[in-house]
Amino acid sequence: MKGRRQIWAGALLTAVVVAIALVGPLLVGHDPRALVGPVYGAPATGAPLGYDYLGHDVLSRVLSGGRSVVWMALLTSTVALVVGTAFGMLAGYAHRRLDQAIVWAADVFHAFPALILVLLVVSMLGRSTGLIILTAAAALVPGVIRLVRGLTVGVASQEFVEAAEMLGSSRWQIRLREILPNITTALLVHFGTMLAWSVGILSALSFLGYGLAPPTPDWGLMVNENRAGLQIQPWGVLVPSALIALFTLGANLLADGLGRAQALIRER
Amino acid sequence: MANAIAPEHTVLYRDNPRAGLVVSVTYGWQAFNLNQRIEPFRDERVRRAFRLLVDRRELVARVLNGEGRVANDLYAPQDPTFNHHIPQRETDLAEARSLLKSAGHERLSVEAVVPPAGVSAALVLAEQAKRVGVEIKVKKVDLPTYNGPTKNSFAISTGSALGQSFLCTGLNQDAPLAVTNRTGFDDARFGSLFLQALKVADLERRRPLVQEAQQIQHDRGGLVIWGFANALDAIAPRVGGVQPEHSHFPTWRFDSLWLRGGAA
Amino acid sequence: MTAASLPAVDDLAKGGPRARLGWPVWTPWFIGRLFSSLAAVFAISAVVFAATQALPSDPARVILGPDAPEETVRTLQRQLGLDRPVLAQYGHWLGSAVVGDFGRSLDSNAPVLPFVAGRLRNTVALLAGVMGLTAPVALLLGVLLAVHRDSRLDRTVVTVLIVFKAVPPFAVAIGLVSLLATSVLRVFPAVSLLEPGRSLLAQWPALVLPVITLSVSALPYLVRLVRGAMIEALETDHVVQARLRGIPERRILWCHALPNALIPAVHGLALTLSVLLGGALVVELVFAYPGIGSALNMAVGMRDVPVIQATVLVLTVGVVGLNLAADLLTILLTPRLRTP
Repeated sequence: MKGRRQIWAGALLTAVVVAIALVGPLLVGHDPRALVGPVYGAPATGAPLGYDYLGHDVLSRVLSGGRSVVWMALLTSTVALVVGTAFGMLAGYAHRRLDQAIVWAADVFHAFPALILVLLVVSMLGRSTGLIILTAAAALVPGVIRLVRGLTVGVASQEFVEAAEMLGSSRWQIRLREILPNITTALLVHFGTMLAWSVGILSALSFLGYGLAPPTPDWGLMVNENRAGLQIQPWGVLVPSALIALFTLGANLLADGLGRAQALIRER
Repeated sequence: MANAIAPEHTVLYRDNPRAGLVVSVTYGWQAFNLNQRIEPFRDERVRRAFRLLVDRRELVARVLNGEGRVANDLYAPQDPTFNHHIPQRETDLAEARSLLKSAGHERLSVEAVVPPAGVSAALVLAEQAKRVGVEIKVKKVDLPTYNGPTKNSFAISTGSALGQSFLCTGLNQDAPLAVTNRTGFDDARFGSLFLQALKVADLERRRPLVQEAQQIQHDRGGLVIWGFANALDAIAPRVGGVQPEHSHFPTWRFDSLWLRGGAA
Repeated sequence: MTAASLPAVDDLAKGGPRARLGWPVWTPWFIGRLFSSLAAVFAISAVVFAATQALPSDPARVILGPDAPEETVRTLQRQLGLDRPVLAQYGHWLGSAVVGDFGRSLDSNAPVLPFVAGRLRNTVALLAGVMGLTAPVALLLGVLLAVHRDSRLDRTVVTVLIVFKAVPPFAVAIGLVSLLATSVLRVFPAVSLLEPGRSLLAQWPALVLPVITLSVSALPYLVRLVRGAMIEALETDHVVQARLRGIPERRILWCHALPNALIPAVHGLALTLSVLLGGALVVELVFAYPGIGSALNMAVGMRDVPVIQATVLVLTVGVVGLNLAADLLTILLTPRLRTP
């Protein structure tokens, strides 16, 4: 796909899904927690997508189920970005021992499968949304540290950093004022990838039953709840899956397109 | 053979040439436990209000997908000493509301702690409770927590049991000597009747004791037994000898099962 | 994930005393990595052990069930050694684990090691299937796209691959079940229940859908990796000179460019396998496939601590080992990194 079209397609998809997620709850016909129809009922007037495993209206739950995914994914990516950037900049422009220690710690956790880490922590320590976000962000942080450290090392060897050193700025002042502005674009691109990845892991967590608890409408949870009725009433599974996929797709396209655009700019 | 399939899957097996459904009517029941150790269920009126607000028919229709029948808050109807004279409790929202009001709880908010298997029932209860102004927050916990050290301290929980005799079930539920008494039922007269009944082997002499005990349970207890669940088993067409029965285990009768056309 | 973990050529050139002994030049790097990997495995097993101590309920209660009186629970706790200090328990577990005794499952009371080993074997079978499916496809497709770079075909396929990457694995799994097992066609079983007595090969239809699902999520990365590596390989001086010398394009492709592109491809394949080792969990659950991911999930649900610890250890060793193998293979295959 041509670069610019890719960015537009990605932005559009992401915007559409986010709009559904944010505005949806205002458009519902029924209370998403109310039991208004038969179990796995077929689509009928007033319920174009039918009813789910207990008799909720699927359309209402679909419209209300996006908010949690969107804000949790956004928060997770942001937390990971901030924490990872801080540590990455610390490592990339610091004494060798500190650098090695941070890199080693990041490697240890980078190697471990993220979903399993989050699963273990959440299943054992409780499923509060704060804990879920923190653990998912923790799984993302090592990747950010690696990226930011590499970028920092690249920038730190340049002349204006040496100049700032000679002028007597402290290390953190240099990090924040000289290094950070130069790596922001790359960070934004990575943010898009992290967003897609967060949606994936958060919805997988919901699917496994360790995310939000019923009766909260949530796309990942809906896929799990209605899985048993796939042959009887597939809408309860297909529509939330499609929306999650579209969100991830949009975020990926956006990140990919931005990355390519940035690479082109650098080449010129 | 697939033993104990979920009620929502029955649709897949009806009219299916590749698998048949064996429906066994059993006395296994499902219930909500109202814990009278904890506010607001210390007040007997609140317990009765809850027992009146549940729509048992809707629970059977949604949670059991229709595979079951309505129950009357009493267990062991198959027991020969069972008290069949107690009329079926019907849903009565007006009475429930007035009971709650007289107990001083016009607006109520309670937490229900349930295992994964009890989530559906609790969610339906929460929706039903809204009709009389009661808010129930459903909290799903895993089995080890549900059966852990805090098991007797949940305001509302769900419970189920296989169909056993009155005395057996009581020893596991709400009678004295029960280790896991989620309802905290502790009536002096009931306790003494139960302990006496334990000592009496003769059914005729036990019957009046049990029947009075059950009347007390029905009036003052915290067990809201809303339905008896059917045992559902799916069998392939070439399996024979599976008969529906009350025991919950029709597919375990390996001595009378056979395969058509030899083993695969 | 790649270049940072590999040694720089200059570092390796300082072979030092080991080079004189005739050991491979990358030995110091390897030993360093080995130690750091072992440390990682220890760290993670310790973290998981600590987390299991934070559980509100304990194994004795799980075993005895809800109807056990308090004294029985306390007796069993003493018998299981649950009243000893945490560090002592960890030490005991570690000591036994090193000799291969992982204790008994709290749920089934069966020895943990044979159980986990069997589940691991099943998951490895899945991964072997994924490798068998994706390696040739990724290679061929990657080469094809590199040769026809920026054509309509290239852009279409890359877009399709991006879509593949975006759909969450559980949705892919459910979609495939719907398509190939229940609603549209009924070719494969919807659930992969394996019979314990029979060999996996004899039950291969049960593996098809899980393998396809995992391949769909692995393919995009691999294809783009091969494509990128081939594009780079086709632009090196080496290949340009070969063209100038008049060597036919086909020979250039398969004999000069591809071997160089294979190196990052192999690295990527090993990395993908390590990611899939953990990522197979969701797929195993959807298909009820008795692999190590579903074993962990079940153990977590039942608070079966010995099984949780053994499974996490196995997974960590597997992931860390595969990462190490990926880097080692890269070194072995890259002539520059091998010789001082």
